[in-house]
Order: sequence, then C-alpha cells, then structure tokens
Amino acid sequence: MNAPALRAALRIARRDAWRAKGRSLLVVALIGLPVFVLAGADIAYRTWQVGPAEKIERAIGAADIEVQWFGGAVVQDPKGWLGNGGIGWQGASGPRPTTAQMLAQLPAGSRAIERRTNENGTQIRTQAGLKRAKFVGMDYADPIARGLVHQVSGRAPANEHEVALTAALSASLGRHTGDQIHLVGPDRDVTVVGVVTDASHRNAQTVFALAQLVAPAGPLSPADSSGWLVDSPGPFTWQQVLHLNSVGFGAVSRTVYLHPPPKSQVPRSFGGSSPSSTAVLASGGLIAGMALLEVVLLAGPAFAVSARRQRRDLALIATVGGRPADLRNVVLANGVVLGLTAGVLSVVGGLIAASIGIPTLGRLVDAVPGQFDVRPLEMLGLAMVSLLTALAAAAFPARGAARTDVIAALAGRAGVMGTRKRVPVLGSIVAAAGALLAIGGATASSGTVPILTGIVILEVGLIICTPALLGLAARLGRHLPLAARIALRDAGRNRSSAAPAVAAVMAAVIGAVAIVIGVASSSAQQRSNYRPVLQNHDGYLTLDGTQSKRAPDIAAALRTAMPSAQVLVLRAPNQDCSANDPTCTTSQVGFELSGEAARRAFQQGRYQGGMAPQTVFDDGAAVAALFGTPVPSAVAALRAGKAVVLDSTAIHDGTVTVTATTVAATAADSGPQPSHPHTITIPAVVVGQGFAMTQLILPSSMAPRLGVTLQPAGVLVHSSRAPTDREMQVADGALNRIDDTLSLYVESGYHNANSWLLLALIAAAAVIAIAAAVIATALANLDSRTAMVTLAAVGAGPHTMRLLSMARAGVIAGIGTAIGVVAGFVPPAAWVQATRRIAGPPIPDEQTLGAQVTLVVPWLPIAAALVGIPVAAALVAGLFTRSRLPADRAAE
Amino acid sequence: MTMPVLELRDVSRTHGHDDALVRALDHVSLAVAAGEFVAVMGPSGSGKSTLLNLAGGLDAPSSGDVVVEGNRLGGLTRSSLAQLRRRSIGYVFQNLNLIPSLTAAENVMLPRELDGVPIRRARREALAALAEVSMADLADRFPDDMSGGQQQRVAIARAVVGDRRLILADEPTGALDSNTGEGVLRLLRTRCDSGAAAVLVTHDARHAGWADRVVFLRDGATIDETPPLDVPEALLAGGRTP
Ligand SMILES: Nc1ncnc2c1ncn2[C@@H]1O[C@H](COP(=O)(O)OP(=O)(O)O)[C@@H](O)[C@H]1O
Ligand SMILES: [Mg+2]
Repeated sequence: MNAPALRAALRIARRDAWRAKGRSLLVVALIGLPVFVLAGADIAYRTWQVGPAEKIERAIGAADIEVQWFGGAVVQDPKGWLGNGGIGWQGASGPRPTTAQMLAQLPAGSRAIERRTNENGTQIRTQAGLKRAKFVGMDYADPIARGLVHQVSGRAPANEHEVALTAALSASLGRHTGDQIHLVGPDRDVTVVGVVTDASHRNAQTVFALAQLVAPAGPLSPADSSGWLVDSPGPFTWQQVLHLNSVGFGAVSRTVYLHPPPKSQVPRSFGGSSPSSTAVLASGGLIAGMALLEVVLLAGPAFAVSARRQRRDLALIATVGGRPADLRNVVLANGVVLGLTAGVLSVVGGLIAASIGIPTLGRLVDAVPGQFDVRPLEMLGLAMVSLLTALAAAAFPARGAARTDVIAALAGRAGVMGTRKRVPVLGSIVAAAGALLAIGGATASSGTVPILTGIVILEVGLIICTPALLGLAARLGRHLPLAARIALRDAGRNRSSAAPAVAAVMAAVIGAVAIVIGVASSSAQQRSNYRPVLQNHDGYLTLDGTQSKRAPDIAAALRTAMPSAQVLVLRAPNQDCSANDPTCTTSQVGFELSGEAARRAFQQGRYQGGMAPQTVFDDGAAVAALFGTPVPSAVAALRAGKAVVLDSTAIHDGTVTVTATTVAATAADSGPQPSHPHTITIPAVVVGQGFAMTQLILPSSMAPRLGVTLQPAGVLVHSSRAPTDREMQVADGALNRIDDTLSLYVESGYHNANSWLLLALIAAAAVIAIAAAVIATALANLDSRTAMVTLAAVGAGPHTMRLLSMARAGVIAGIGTAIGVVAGFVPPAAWVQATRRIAGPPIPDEQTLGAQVTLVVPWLPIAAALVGIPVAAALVAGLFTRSRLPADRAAE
Repeated sequence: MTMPVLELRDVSRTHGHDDALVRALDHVSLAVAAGEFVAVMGPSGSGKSTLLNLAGGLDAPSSGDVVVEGNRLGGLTRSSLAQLRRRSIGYVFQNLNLIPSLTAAENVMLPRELDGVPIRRARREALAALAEVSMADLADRFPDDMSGGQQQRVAIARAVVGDRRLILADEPTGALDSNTGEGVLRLLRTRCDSGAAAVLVTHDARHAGWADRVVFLRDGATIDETPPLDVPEALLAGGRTP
C-alpha cells in the first residue's frame, strides 16, 4: 500500500462523487440520516444528563448538607438517597427531633432551614372538583435554598396564609399571583403570592408554602422526605456524615457527593451497576447494528452502480499498472469520500439541530436540561460510524472491482460475475446457525442478546445467499413475458447492485413481519389474560357500612357527573365493618359452584377484582344495568320470587340451594364464630346472555328467609360510552365532597397501548422495503440506459420501458419480500421460545393467569405485505419511469 | 543485435473448446527492438487486439512465450505484471483513453503515483511528458474539455511517462480525422526515434507508412511482413535513423 496510489484513488472518488451528484446525494442522505439522528440524540442525552455539581445543586440548593431523620442506626451510601445504594436503618425510631436538637449534632455555626415534603400532597379545590399537587414546605427565599426554585413572578410565601405555585400547576388551575385558593390537605384558604419553576422538573405541579404549613406524612412513611437543608461553616466530611448516621440521621453532603470517600471507609458496599446494564447496552448495540446493516444494504446498490460505471476507468487503471488492490481501493475510496461527507454533514447537522431543538422543543420535556453538552470524541465516533457504514456498503462492489475483467471492460463487454458454488452453501449454514442461536439461545440472564445476535447472523447468512438466489431466479424466468424475463436476467447479471437491494428489502420485511407476529402474539396473550370486572364503560363504587347511609347522595352525584344511562344502588348484606360499631355484622350469601361453573365464571372474570357482591338482592330494576341489556326472563323470574343464576350447573331440578353465613364484627377478636348458617332451596332460572359480574340475583323477599339484612352495597353506573377526563374529574370532586375515601372504578376494557407505534413501525418497514426496491430500480435503469435505448430503437414503446422498469422493481421487491417473510418468523419464534423457557413449564391448573405465549400469525397483513410490497414498488417505479424516458433518449 | 524490447515466441491464444474453439492468435512470432516502430494490420477479428493484450500482459497466451525487456510474462505474478505496465509498457487505445474525472496532468501522473512516486515528482514528470507532446498548456484541463486529438496526445504522454520503452497503440487514430491522426502518428514516430519501441494496430495503410515494418494478420496468423515503406511525411518529420 503506498500513499500516492491511495491519494490518486481518493482524488478519482472525490471527482466522481461530484460528477454524479444525484447518486452521491442519495448515498450521503442514506448514510447520514441515521448518524444525524444519533448525533442529535447523543447531544440531547448528554445535555439532559446533568453533571454531579449541577445534580447536587438541584437536590440541595446552596446548602452544604441535607439531613433527614430516620432514627435507629443508619447505614447509607455516601451519596445517600441520591446514590444507587440508598439508605438503610435499624432499630426503633423515636419522635422526629426539633431543628435545635438536630443542629446540636452539627458543628457550631451551622444554620438550617426545614424542608417538609409530602409526596401524597395536598388537594386544591377547583371549579370542577379537586386537584392533587405535591406539597413542599420550605422557605425557598432563604439563601440556603438558592437554586432549588426559580421565581417566575410574584414573591415567596412569607406567612402561613400564602403559597407559591409552580407554573405548570398555576396554568392547570388557572390561578395566578393574587388569587385565592382553597387547600384541602390542611383545610384553609390561602393566597397565591408567586409563580415559580422547579429546578429539575419543568412540569412539576407543586404547592410551595412555609414549612409549618406542611404536616409531615409521618416519620419513615415512604411519602415523607422531610428534612433540613443546612449551611455548615466548612465542608462536611464523610466522617461527619458517619457521625450523623450513628445518631439516627441520614445526610447528603455536597463535599462527599462530589468527592466520594474511598471504598475502605464505606461500611457496607453500596452501589454498583445493575447486572442487566451490559445486556441492555449489548441489545441496543445490536439493534443499532441491524439498523446500520439496513443502511449498508440500501447504500450498497449505489456503490455497485458507480463501480460498474467506473468499469472502463478501472480497466484503464489496470492498463497503466494498477494492481487489483488499487482497483479495489478506487471503489472503496468512493465509500471513504461519501462516508466522510455524510459523517461531517450529519454530525454538524445534528449539532445545529440540537442547538436549535433543545431550547425550543426541549421545553416540552419535563426534565430540565443541563449545560449544552457536546462530546467531541462521541461526535468523532459517530462520524466514524458513518465512514464504516459507507465502507461496508462499498466493500462488495470493491471486491468485484478487484476482479475486473480488463479486456472485456476495454472492449465494452459486460463481464458477468459468477458466484462460486460454495458461497450459497456457506450462506445457508450461517443463516441456519443464526436461526438456531436465536431460537435456542436466550435464557433469563442473557436477555435478548442471543436472539438479536442470532438474527444478525441469520440476516448475514441470507445476504450471502442472495446473489446465488438471483442467479437461480434468472434461470427460472425463462418462460416469463419479455419485461419480467429481462428484469430477472438483469437482476441475475447485475448481482452486485441487485443483491444488496434484495437484501435491503429482505431485512426490512424481516423486521416488519417479526413485529407483526410478535405483537400479535403478545397482545393475544395479554388479551387472554385480561379480566374485565364490569361491563365495558361501566363504573362501580363499593360502599362500606357508614357510606351506605349516603347512597342516595352518592347516586345523585354520579347521576349528574357521569354520562350514565342508569345509576343504580345495589343492595346486599353488609360485607364490610370498617366503622367502629359493635353491632355490625357481615354476611356471605352464595351457593357451591361446580368445578366447571367456577372455571367458566373465572374465565368470564366474574370473580376478579371483588368489585360487586357475588350475590345481589333485586326485584328486577337492576337487571338491565347488570346485564347491559334488558333480560325480560330474569325480570319476570325475580318478580315471581325466583332466583336468577348465571350458570346452569348451579341448578338442580330447577332449584338452587343458597346458604347465608352471618358473622358479628366483635367476634373477630375472639376468632371466627359463625352463627348457624341459613340454607334455603328456591326455584331458579338461568340467564346465560350478557355479562354480569354477579353470580346470583335473589328477590329481596328472600333476605328475611336467609336471616340477612340488606343495605346499599354499592353504586353501579351503567354507561353506553367511556366517561371523559373532565367527567371523571367532576365525579371525583363530587364524591370527595361527600367522603374523601370514595373512589369510582370505571371498566375501560383491554387496551393495546402500542398499536399506533406498531402501525408506524410497520409502515416504516414497508416504506424502507419499497424505497430499497425503487432505489435499486432507478439505479438499474440508469445503468442499463444503453439497453433501454436499444430496446427503443427496435421499436419498444414507452409502455414497454415502463413495464420493464416496473418488472425490475417488482422482481427485486418480490424476491426480497419472499425471503423476508419466511425469515421474519424467526425473531418472534425465538421470543416465544425464550419467554416459555424463562417462564418454565406451564402450571396445569387451568385457572392460573398468565396464559402461555403462543405464536399468533396474522396471516392477512403478512399476505398483504407479500403481495403489496412488490406491487407498490412496481407502481412507484412505473411512476418514475414515465418522466425519465425522454431524457434518457436525449442523453444518448 | 541488442535484446528486443518485445518478443513474441510462437504465441497462440484460443478461446473456448472443441467445436466452439476460436484461434484468436495462431503461432505468431514477433520481435520489436528499441527504436523500432511496427505496424500491425489486418481485417476485423484477425487477432490484432489480442496480440496487443498479450504483449502488455493483460491477457495470457494459451501457448508460447511473451518476453518484455527480458522478462518472460508467463512467469510473472499479477502484481509483477502490473509493475511491468507501470514501468515498461504504455497503452494507447482508440478512444476513451483518459479517466474523465482526472485532469490531463493527473491522468499522466497516474502510473507514477500508482508506482508510489511522491505527488510532486510525479507531477513534474507528467508536465515534462505533456510538454513533449505539446500539451503543457492544457495540463489542468479535464478530458471532456479537450478535442479527440488532444486526448490522444495526453494518452501518449501517459504511455511514455516514467521513461517506458514499449508503446502499444490499438488504433489510436481510429476516432480522429486524418490530419489529427497524422499528428498522433508523428508523435509516436518521434518517441521511437528517441529510443522507444512501438507496436501500432491500424486499419489505415497510410498510417502504416509511418512504421519501420508492417505485420499482416489474418485469422490470427501472420501472413506477411513488409519492410518499411518510404513515406515523404516520415522523412519530413526528420530525426529518423536510417
Ligand atoms: N473473450 C473472447 N471469447 C471468444 N472469442 C474471442 C474473445 N476475445 C476475442 N475473441 C475472438 O478472437 C478473435 C480476435 O479478436 P481481436 O483480437 O479482438 O480482433 P481484432 O482486434 O483484430 O478485431 C475474434 O474472432 C474474436 O471473436
Ligand atoms: Mg481490435
């Protein structure tokens, strides 16, 4: 290898890239786009990834330490609750010390302010109802707190009747500086005196008040992170933190945070990276690798075409003494030039996009970004990725260039590069090994890495086979009509450009098919695991003993708030003695279910969630709401004093046997003392239709016979549509005014949360596949301009030309799609196998949740892809050809 | 007699097998000495290009030996052959001799650069070679901006740069008008007169007149070999050694 020869190769590549601007631009865009995205994402990631100094400032402001009370002996990570290891304590915790008691443990001259945080927050009365917000009690105007909160307007609260709101909360409430609001946590009216933003969360919805206004959630409650921010006279050392630990305090010191002590001084090992982080990194790398492989395949045909257009140049270089390596380098130099151009442009573009995007679009993100952070080494790395991608794309044509048939090229004859017999065999072996690794390799600990590795290997194997497959297809096309025959032959002859295009289609289709099958399988599993507890859109609210007295108010409130067709109070024996009432009793009413009935009831979800009592007493009014549809037979039966059951197996000779067991609440202390059960046998009818969450409906006349007293047990809201967010707010507000523990559950059915993302992914894969075929076709058309002109000269009309172009695209897309569809079964199969292997053998009990994942193949979308992608590619190619043909003629 | 620059010893080149056997060159022997200008004539398909390709090591004979400056080409590796083309052999073709993305000077530099000569020295040598073919003014032009004759002159400059002694020209005037063609031939004649050996493939008997000797080929075999004709232009060109 000598430098002057390399320089000459680069010179030729540079000039050629400039001469073929369109093709160069295409390659630069293909290679540059992913790198551009990566560069922008890297800068955004680094910008949001706050440095330690900024992180500690956001956590403790200008303080030297934050101290929290735990009691007992505290063992903590040097970084305390900000570190990975967190904090632990042993022994009883006494009452929270006063600020003075806390300061006594610190060096003289320390000054502290309290910061009380209640994550449960406070509630603010709104027009619609209640709004929950985080509640922080801290005099943030104190210099110690500087940096925690940024005052947007107004001032800091100065007394117990004043609060400040974050901008997000102020906007959400529609309350601003000067307005009065009513807090429900500590029940009082306060004045908003300022609007602020939180240092780290842009969208934080927080009420700031003075410390004394916030009642701590109680020591050691997970919702409580109250403590002190302390200004100490000097840096606060790890030794001093350890002293605080010994007396029951945990502490985060700025000094210790920024300069952690050596491991030997840390009592217990804290921290360490999570074991899966390398696997996650590897998976990310493999996914990025697959994306880049796709880029390589998309850019490959462009390099192949430029290499073939350079054939005469390459032959000339050979005649003046170029070695095969020199010829290869000339083609590789195309990759260097375009790869570097793409790298520089995309990194610079990413930089510009990030510098514009972070201050503007970045506002939409909750987390507040840190300093604009560009890592030159990472940018350089990304530019290198672009270079390597281009080199990889140029590698295949470069190999061909090294084997240029000089004499044929000089004579203007097209040399056909054959495929050696061993190559497809090798490719098949590689592909099979990849599939085996993917399907057999994943274990619980290794995660997705073997699957992804296997898929990459599978794709590489298929790519190796592609040229041979093209040769085979060309031979099989002997009896096809002219356009298809020429297209197949062309694909077979120009393998260096057709093969990467076919492979690009294939890789995109593998992705699309894998996603379709994978998602269909996983959502089938989730759907079969989902157990609705009510009819869709219905709501239910359970009432305890005291709440049942207010049932009419609650029903009335829900009637106004919800879009309900019917709001019903269901009556049943009391089942919940939450009130301190010694006379309270609870009763269970029901019948033995046969195994089969139990299984079916379970499948229909009637036992799930405990939403409604299994037995309801009703004289026909609730039937329509319970079943979601009028059931005259049930109404008639109840009116006639018969029971309604949902399962025929519960009925024997037209009757059902019902047992009631009543227990006194006071008996709970002295162990279960069931009063003697009442058992009755009454005529019953079966209602199989509709969905009811209740197993048994009894006429209310049966209550005395069972020795139970009825009371409102719950409120059923039967709606024909889902309530809106606003309606839910209104309902919550209204319920809260009655009793703040009331909560309404609304059944919203099974949601496939990812369906939009999924559709977008499939569409993207289809677009990539079609684009690959069309790009390759455009290049093939350009490449065979002489052949096209010859065809035109022998009388082929534009119609034939367009047909030929469409056939080219169809052939490339068709072969690629066919291989891709077959290979696309491997990733989801691998995933299903891995999931099963990790979950262990199925549990024989049929009632277990977590149905096994099975491969669900949505044949229709797959068949649509198999036909649609080639057809779409052909149509797009056909559209392009019409506008190109006259220019082609003029060019010759 | 000194060692010939190019020697073909009983060289044959066949394509295909049995029924489809084509004898592109059939037991041809030829020796070209330094300073000698040999023209090869013959109808289309008679094996002229095959002869040149064999002489330059682009193609290998089916039998016989090709010797260039004492090196038997059959015994050389691909990269030694390439080296021989960089240092000893220069090709000129009918057309499209130049790499369109390189300037005249860069085209001429190419063999030197491939040989590892530093860029400045390569350029100096290229400018000198261009000056010899009166193309120094157009050194920085691209082939697309040059006439056919100018392109052929640049091709000849590239064929001789680095003091190469064997010029193989395959119908170098085929795409030129006759005046321009004469100019190109005069140039080749001059190179031979200053010590190079040249083999010229041509259709045109008048062009053959510039040569010292004409070899006639038919169906791959030598059918005749003439002594040089006396052409006035050749004398007018001067410098020709008797
Ligand atoms: N690669 C090849 N395969 C088969 N026949 C060839 C090949 N190359 C040349 N020939 C045949 O060899 C003969 C000589 O060709 P060539 O040397 O190109 O003739 P010329 O240059 O005199 O026109 C021709 O008959 C040609 O058909
Ligand atoms: Mg010829």
